[in-house]
Amino acid sequence: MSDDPAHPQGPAPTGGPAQAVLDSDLATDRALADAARAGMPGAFERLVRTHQRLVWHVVQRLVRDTEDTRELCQETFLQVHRHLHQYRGESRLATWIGRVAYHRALRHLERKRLDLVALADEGDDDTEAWLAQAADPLDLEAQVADAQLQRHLQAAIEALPPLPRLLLTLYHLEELPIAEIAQITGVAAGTIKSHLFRARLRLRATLAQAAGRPADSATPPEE
Amino acid sequence: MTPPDTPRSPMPAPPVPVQPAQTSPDQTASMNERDEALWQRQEAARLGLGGDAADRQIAQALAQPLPVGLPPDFAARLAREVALQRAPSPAFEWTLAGLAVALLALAAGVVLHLDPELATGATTALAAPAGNGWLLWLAVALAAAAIRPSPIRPPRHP
Repeated sequence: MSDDPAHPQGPAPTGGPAQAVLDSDLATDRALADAARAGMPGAFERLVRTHQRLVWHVVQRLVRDTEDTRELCQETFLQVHRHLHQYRGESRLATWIGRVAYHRALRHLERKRLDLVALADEGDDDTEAWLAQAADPLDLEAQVADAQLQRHLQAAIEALPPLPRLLLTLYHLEELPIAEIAQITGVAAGTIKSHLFRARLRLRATLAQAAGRPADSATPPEE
Repeated sequence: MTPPDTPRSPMPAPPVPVQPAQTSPDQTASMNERDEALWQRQEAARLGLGGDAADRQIAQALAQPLPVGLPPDFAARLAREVALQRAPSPAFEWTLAGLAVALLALAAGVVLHLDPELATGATTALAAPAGNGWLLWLAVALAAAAIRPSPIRPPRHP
């Protein structure tokens, strides 16, 4: 798969405008982290406010339970505060905090003995069927406004295994580049792409079923 | 890949071993031309540049904001909690100071009880002219302590 311009996956070219923006972001992150560590008034609150959405997304997509998510979000930020001295400003603060949240949620899943990717493997046998189906255009124009279809799709997203669900959220909703998602999760970039690809195929199959088309059919509906 | 800023001590190893097929360094190589074309179509839909209706609907659904179930004052509450953890409470400080004074008084009492001559020596030293220096150094130390804030006391939030 080739890189796309909106989500560059390789290192940014040094010396260009993108690098200047990144340097500026890192300087801002370092200043905020230093201020929070020194106990400057309002600094830690600003840090939490800035990153609480990302932390919520990371934890909620893995854990799902709202109460557990709230608790883990709080634990994440307290852990961030205790370990702020370990942030050296070499990556974005969001990436560093996201990684703390990810590992907190993983520990929680481990305690609950929930598998991060088991359900992803469960569907491996269907991948070929999804692929065959996805090769054909699926005309949903008539159903686009159908709330029922939207509900099917949202339910299918919720039913995804924790890891693909998280990766889709970070990629589509947080609009993080794959390289940064790899830093947060520790999963290889190629594997992340594979998860994204297969999860979207799976959602497409669900959509086709909901639209009244057999999931394993490779032929478009007759006009 | 190891991120440059990884909090090491609090970071456990991922608890659930990922399947070998999913942890290969780069699964891109396994993508054939068909997969590549489908990936590009998914990406075009995500960017609003193409894809069919299904891809666009999926991209739209995935970009729907998720409700964040944190209370509105979550950040402020956490900041207060952290500030409280940093600052020792006044009651604790007063208790500690009281214990220190009591301990000093007890130590002085024991020493004077065991060696009454020390009382005479102490009285002489206190009555001595400031020229012997100790009184001056005591004043300097007290002044320095008054000017310089305590290193364990964090700045107070407004």
